[in-house]
Amino acid sequence: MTDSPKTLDHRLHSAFGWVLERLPKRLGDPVRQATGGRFGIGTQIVLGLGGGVLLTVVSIILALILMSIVSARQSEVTNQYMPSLMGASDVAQRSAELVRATPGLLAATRPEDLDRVRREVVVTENLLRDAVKLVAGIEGGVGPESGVGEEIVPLVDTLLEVVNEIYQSVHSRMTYQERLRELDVRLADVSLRLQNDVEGELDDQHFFMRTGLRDLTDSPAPQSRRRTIEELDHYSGLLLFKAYQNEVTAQVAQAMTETDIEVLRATLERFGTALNDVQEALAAIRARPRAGLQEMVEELSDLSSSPEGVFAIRNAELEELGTAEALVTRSNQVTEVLVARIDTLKGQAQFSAQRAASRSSDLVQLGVWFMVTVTVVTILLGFVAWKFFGERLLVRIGRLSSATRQMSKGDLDVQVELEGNDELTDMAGALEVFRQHAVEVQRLNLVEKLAAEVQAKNSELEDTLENLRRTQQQVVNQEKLASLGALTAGIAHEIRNPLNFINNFAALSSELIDELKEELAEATNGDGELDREYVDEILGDLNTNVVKVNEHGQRANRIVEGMLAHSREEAGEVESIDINLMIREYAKLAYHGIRGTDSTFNVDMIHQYDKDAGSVDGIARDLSRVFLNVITNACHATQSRGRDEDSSYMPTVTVSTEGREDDVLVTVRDNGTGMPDEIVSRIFDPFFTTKSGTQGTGLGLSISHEIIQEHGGRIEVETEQGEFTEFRITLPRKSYNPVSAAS
Amino acid sequence: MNERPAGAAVGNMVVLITLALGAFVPGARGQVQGGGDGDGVFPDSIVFGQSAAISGAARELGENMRLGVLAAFEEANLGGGIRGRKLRLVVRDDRYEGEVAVVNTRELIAHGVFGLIGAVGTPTSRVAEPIASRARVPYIGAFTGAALLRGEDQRYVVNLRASYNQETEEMVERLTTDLGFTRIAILYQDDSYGQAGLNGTRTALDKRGMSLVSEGTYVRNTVAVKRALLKIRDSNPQAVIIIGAYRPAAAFIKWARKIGMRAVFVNISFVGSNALLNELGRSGEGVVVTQVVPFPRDTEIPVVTRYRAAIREIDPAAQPGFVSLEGYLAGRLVVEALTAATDSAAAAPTRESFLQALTAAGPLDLGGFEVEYGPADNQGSDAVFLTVIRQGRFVPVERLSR
Repeated sequence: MTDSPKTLDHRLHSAFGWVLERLPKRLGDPVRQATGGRFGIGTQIVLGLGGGVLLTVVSIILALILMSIVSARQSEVTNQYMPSLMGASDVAQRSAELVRATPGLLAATRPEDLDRVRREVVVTENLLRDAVKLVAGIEGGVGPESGVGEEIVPLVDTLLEVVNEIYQSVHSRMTYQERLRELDVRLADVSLRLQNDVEGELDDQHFFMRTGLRDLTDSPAPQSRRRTIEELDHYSGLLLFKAYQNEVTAQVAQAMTETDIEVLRATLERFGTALNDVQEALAAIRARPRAGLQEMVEELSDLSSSPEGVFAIRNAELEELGTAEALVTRSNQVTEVLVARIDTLKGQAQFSAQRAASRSSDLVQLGVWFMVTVTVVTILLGFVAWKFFGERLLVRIGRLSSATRQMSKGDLDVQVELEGNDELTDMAGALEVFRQHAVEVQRLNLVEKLAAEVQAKNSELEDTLENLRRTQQQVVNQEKLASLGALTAGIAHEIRNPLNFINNFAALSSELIDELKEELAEATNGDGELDREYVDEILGDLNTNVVKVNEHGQRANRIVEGMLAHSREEAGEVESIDINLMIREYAKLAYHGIRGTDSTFNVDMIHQYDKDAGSVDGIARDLSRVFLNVITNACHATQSRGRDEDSSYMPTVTVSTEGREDDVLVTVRDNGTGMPDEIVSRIFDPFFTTKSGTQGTGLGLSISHEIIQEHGGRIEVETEQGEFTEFRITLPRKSYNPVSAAS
Repeated sequence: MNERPAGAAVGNMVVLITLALGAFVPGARGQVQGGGDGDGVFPDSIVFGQSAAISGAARELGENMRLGVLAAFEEANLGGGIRGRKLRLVVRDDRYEGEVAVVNTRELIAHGVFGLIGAVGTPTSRVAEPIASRARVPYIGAFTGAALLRGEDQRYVVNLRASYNQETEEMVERLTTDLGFTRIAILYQDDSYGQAGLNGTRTALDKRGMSLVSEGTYVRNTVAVKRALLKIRDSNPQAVIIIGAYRPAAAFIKWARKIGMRAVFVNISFVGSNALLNELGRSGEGVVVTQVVPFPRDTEIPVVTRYRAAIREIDPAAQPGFVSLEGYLAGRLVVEALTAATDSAAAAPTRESFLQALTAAGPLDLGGFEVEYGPADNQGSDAVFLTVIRQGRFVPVERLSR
């Protein structure tokens, strides 16, 4: 991204502008108004977020549409097929429950149990009816299933009817059983009474036949009366009665528990036979107990074999049981058919439901794909938006930020360049303006600072210059002193001669005076005679001596004055100078100056003066300095070469003059060391010296050059290293510019 | 057993609310406190339940048991109760029917009674006791000598009286020892009651290397005993042990005398002593009845004296009898055991501490009537008392004599 950010931003903003221009006026105006006609950050964010929101809304709307379609399909399943399915399941389940409940009806042993089971059955029945209603209600709309539904309703009705019949049957049976229980109690009572009575009668009869006693109060009957036919009949009647009565009771008990209706009929027959036997036995029994027994037997007979007796009721109960069983079989058959029909219905509903579910499942899958696509597109668009807006924005903000940071650190050379046309660009522009202002301020500050610095430097330079001047003066002074020093030896040598003369003549004069005094003393004290001739000779000699002393004294005075003049500070006065005289004098001074410091020094000084050299106008002090300097240098060159050469080397300095019409040429040539070219070019520079230590100040030739120029002359040099050096000084006769001499 | 719905039983049930307080249980169940969860122990009372025949054929037995228990309780209450707690008795009528006894027992336990006391009869106890034992409620002083309440593991059953076996043993012992009889016959009712007596008698005789000379039986609810009488007479017994009801027993004795039998007739306690006496009339002379409690008119026995005073407190017109004495002794036993189980007024007795007190008490003298319980012994008294009808009255005897 960093390779073409400007281009991208530019393109984005241009694109926005392009779009904005082409917007219809009604839409374009508010947009332009809102965005300020440019692709601002707000617009970017609004566009980015708005795009995301738009995508989300669009996807949600599409998802909602899909969901509503799916929901419609589902509700189709729910409203049409599921109720069929569930209703069918319900019908099947309830039918099964109902059929399962019927054994409960059959198994009920007490009315309460039956009623309880009946209540449960009714609940199940109602549920079944509801389920059937549901199926019958909806199947009309479904179409293909309606036929089955129509089959189910009558089947269920039949089933309900059968179940109801079963209940009725069981209820009847229960009623029979209730009556049977009552009969049983009464039968048991009658049987027990019969049994106990017969037992008592038998006991009594047996006891009577054994003991002849019937009552505790009786007397025993005679044996003849105990075992009569009558008594025996009575006894056997009782025995038979007991046996048959037991048989009767057994048959009734059998009837009570018999479940096979055929066996029950046989039991009834046996009961009838036994009852007949009982009646027959009863006939043999004596009248007193017979009436009571007869009554009980009739009661027993009534309870057993009458239409309301045990056998009849038991028979009815068993028949009812058969009916119930048949009903149960029927209910099972109906249920089987019902379940088969329901299975068909369920199958159809299931098929339809599956079809609808599959269709809705397809839609759901479509929806899933769509949602996935929308999500991917959203992510991609988000990524693109991020790349185009977010990241660009960040990069640009980053650049702005880093530029600002750099500026805050004082680096004002940062160029804040942001393309585009938004708030960031504004900020960048503002920052750039700010930067330029800052640069301007910095520049002004710098100028001010520089000015101050220059001022300081100037004053410093002035100081330095002053110092330099002072130093220069000092150096010049030193140079003067140095040349003075060089002169001193020569001067000392020069001054010694007159002084020697003076001393010698003074000593001679003193001796002459002594001789005079002696003569005078001899004249006075001795012969008295004065040798006048001798005195006059002495006096003449004296006079000559004094004149000589005076001459040499004046000469010494001149030398000292010359020296003083050489070193005097004040500007010299322009005067006419005899060149030959000056050169001769300073050549000697130069030679003796060096001899003064180096006694071994020797040079062949050749003087070639042109008699027509004449004089030039100039400052004697300055020119003498030049000559002294040049000749001394020549001597030093030979001296220097002499140290390196063998004794064959003959140091020679040739000083010559040549008078011309307007000027005078002075040549000083030595056969010394000579100079290399690089030195030649710099010999007139101030302070340049090849001499080591304190031998030179480096100003000699520089000052000489200056002095010659002041005198309007030229100084030239020609040299060859190791061979020679020749200075040629040209001095105009009257060309001295007194103005420049002041410097 | 076919259980009847509760509603059917309610109508047949007489709930007798006893003592001065007219309340079934002092305070609602929610206010039950002390002694555990609904165990009949309240701050001021301890409640017992009784399911017995208050009506029907056995009415006299139930009423007399109730009278005896109440007399003992009231006597204790007049003395301050069990360390401040009054004893109360809730009575329900079971008409001597097992089904009703079951319903009563369940309801009494559900309402929270400390224990059940004074049940009457073997058929009722046979079905009520398991309910009480399962609920860990003490089943105290049932009026029966049946072995089925005397199992070693029946630790919630507290029997007072000696068993039928002990009675028959006593009969045989007395007949053989005191009278030196060797020929003993038996008349028994043809049901489980009679069978129990028959078994006891046979066991006693077997111990002595003897056997019955003859066995006669009669059908329950009949007086058809004469063929049995002839059979027994033919074996010429010296004594006849009768395990039966008072009517056939009386008939047997009277006819025996009529035909000149000179055997000693020995009846078991359950025969119903007073009824037998009335039935026999003048024929009763010398008839022996074994008893499991002391003679109720024997004022030399301290507990009998107290008993007589106590029943008069309840009912001034009450006549002393064996049954009410047995009830009184059961009540006394409860009072003694509860007192022993209650260290202080603060410590409420529990069913377990009550039973523990009984088994740990060792021999307990109720005032001339000693009981003793142990870990595997739920029967307090082994005592069998002999009474003989002399001149139309029962007379206690130590030994039999000719």
